[in-house]
This record gives sequence, structure tokens and C-alpha cells, in this order.
Amino acid sequence: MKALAFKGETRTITLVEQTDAELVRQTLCGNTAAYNSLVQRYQRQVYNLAYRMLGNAEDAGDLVQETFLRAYGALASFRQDASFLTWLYKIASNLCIDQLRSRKAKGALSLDVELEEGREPAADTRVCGPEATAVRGAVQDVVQRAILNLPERYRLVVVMRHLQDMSVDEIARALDMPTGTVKTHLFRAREMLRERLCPVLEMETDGK
Amino acid sequence: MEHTPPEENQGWGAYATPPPVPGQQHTPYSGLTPEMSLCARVRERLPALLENDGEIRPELAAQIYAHLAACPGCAQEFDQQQRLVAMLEALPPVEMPMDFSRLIMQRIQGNQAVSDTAQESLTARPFASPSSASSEGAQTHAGSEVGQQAEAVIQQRTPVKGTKTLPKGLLLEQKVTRTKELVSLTSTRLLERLTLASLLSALIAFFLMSGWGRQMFGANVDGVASWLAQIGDVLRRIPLLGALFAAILLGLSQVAEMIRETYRSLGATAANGLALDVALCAAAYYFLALRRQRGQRLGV
Repeated sequence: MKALAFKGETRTITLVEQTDAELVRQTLCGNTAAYNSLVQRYQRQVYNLAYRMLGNAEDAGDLVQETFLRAYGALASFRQDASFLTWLYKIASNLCIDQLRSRKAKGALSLDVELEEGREPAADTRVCGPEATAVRGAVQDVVQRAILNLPERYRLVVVMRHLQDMSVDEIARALDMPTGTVKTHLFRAREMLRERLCPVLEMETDGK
Repeated sequence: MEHTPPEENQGWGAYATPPPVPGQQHTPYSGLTPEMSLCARVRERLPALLENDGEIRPELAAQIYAHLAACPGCAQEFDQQQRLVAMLEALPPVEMPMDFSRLIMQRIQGNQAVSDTAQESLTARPFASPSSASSEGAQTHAGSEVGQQAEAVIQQRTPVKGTKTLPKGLLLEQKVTRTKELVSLTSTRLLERLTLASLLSALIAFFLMSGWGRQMFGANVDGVASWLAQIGDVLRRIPLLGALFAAILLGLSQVAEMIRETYRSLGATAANGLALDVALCAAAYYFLALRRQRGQRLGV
């Protein structure tokens, strides 16, 4: 899922941003349909972040709703010079961290259960045969588990950088962190992942 | 992540050292020899090289690539880092199970409707008061530049007393609804539950502390034990699962027997103490159940 839908076309990006600002302005004037457009535009990105952070579809769905409700409540204080999506990510990431902490406090569910509940999307079967698809699905499952085992902050930066395709600067803005800290978090998170995914990485190397 | 292949570079500068001997260790940061310290320095820059965000100048990048071409250890390290990133980025986007926009808009409109009926002092605008917006965790720049429309809307708003004490970041309308729920909960359910708790505690205390109660309790335990054993016997005739249920019921009847024996051997003083403990536990359980239910309703 790409953060901006039309990468590479500078003109289009500007248009999208202008439209966001316009929709926000209309919502502030009391036009709820304008906010509906914003929800439809960005719910997928927020859902993906939440799913990768929380590990199951149900919690991710709840988090999407809560994010947009809170954003609506605080829309008057949204800075027009910042990207609306970055602002949404900021709210969603805070909610994710809160949710993960309250889970810890309650005694966390096992990750296995969570992974069973949330289903990975079916992989593209057009090119590869069923065996290759199954292997790829299994690898993706292992990768998702490894991500879910990372500490919260590390998980957040990895998901934002490599799955949501955000730049380090955007992540820094969304998480209110210096870019240096984001880079350090990314580096440490990747080291942890490498350690945990060592067998898979070696398998891939042998395969090639 | 695409990286251009290393180009031939004559001016290697600090990186112009001979390739290390195969089989030699390439552990970073542990080196004493110049080769190892060079590897450590190269590896330190690999994440930045992978990021490819301009932090590393092209000349330096060329030198690092030249070193990677010559040093199998560092090349393997870089290759693994690249593979990991590729693996992460190969995870497909997750499809949403449903379109949430309708649900979200319904909740927003529902909040507005509640707000209209509950709070006459509020305008029908959908925003939280400036005070609650600035306490929102995701907001760091509340009160900074916003559009003229937003300022006009903020000026229209009347701050509502008491909202600061509620969980931060909630919509004002949600706070109103939840406060109403809390009021109804404390006025009716608390009373109901406290009455139930005290009645049950009194009943348990009566059964365990009075002579008649003890007799009845003992007799009942006796009855339950034999009853469970009988049902267990009947169930045993049913094939497969019947035997399992029979085992469970017979086990329970054994437990009842054990309780009865303990109860008889304890005597009056111990029974009184036990009665008090049980009554306290029952009261505590109902208190906790009430708190949990209230917590769920408040979303805490």
C-alpha cells in the first residue's frame, strides 16, 4: 500500500493535497459528506498500518473507526501545512501503542490466535503454481509473526517504512521523533528481524 | 531498493585497502587490524546506503560498492540486509473486510444526535472543544495556524464544564453519552448488585453458621454427591462421549464427598471462619464484577 496513490506525478500529488485541504475545510463548515470522502480515501492505509501493528482484522477495524472519529473531533486543530495522511498516521499510531499497552496490561493474547483470526490476502496466483504460492504464503506468515514480535516502537517504524512506504522524514513527523532516532530504530528493528528470520533468509539464499 | 553496480574507481582513498583473505573473520567493531576496522566502517554505513536517501555522497557510495565487490564478508552482510528489506516489502497490502466509511459516518452522526438532545448549550458542529482537542495525544500543534473557517468555528463554541476530568481525546458528544450511562449505572445497577451481593452473602453465612443451616448444607452436599454419581452411572452406558461425561461427573461427586468430609471434621469454629471468608469473597467478587462492567461501558 503506497502512502501516496499517484507517486511520480508531481502535479497529481499537488492536486490530491489541495483536495484534502479543501475537504477538511468543507468538513469544518459542517459538510459531513466531505469527511466521508476523506475516510474513503485513506481508510485502507490506516487499516493496513493497524493490521500489521495489531495482527488481527477485528482490532484493525476498530482502530480504523476510532482513528477517524478522533480525527473528526480534532479536525479544527489540524495544521493545513501538514499532510492529512501523516496526521492520520499520527493518531492511528498513538492508538496502536495505547492498544498494545492495554493488551500487555490485560495479559496479551497469544500471537498464534491473533494470526489465525486475521487472514492474509490471497496471493497472486496468475504467475506461480500452487506450490510456490503456498511457500510464499508461509514465508509471509513467518515475516508477519516476526514483525509482531518486535517492540512497539520498532514495529511501528518498520511497518511505516517498509510496508506503508513512508519516508524517514514522514515517519519522524508522524511519530514526533528526530529523524536520527527513526533511523536508529529502523536499524535495530531490522537487526532483530534478521536474527529472527535468519533461517528464511538463508533458505532464500540457497534457493537462488 | 535498487543499487547501481559498483563502478571502477581508482581513487579509493580510505577504502583503498586490499581485499581480505578468504576465511578471515569480518566481525564488525571487534577488529584490531586495519582491514577489520575498514569493514566495521563500511558496515556502519550500509543501512544508510540501503536507505539511499542522499545521506551518503555518490563518491563515498562508489567507494563502499568497490569495497563490497572486494570483500565477501561485507558483501554477504549487505546482501542479507537487502534481502530482508525485499522480503518486508513483498508483503502484500491487506484487503479490508468491509468499507468502514458508512459505520464511521453513522457513529459521527449518532454522536451529533445525542449531542443535540443532551446538550442545548452546544452548537450542532461536530468538533470537540479546543481544550479537549489540545489534550489529544496526536495533536502537538493545537492552537497553531488553522484555516479561517476553523477559527470561526472555534469561536462559536461554548466550553463545557467537567469535560477535562474525562478520558482525553474523546469527542465531547461521546463524553456526554458516557456520563449519562455512568449516572444510570451508578443509580440503578449499583443498588441492584449491592442488594444481590449482600443477600447472597447473608444466605451463605446463614447456611454455614446456624446449626440448621449446617445440617441442610451437609445433607445437600450428600444429596448432590449421590445424584452426580447416579447420573455418571447412567451416562456410562452411552458409547464414546458418554464415558467422558461419566468420568467428569464421577470426579465431581468425589469432590462433593471430599467437601462433606472436610466440613464434618472442621467443627463449628472453623465453619464460622469459613462462612465469613466465603461471605467476604462473594462480596468482593460482585464488587469486582461491577467495576469491570462499568469499565467496559466507559471504554476504560
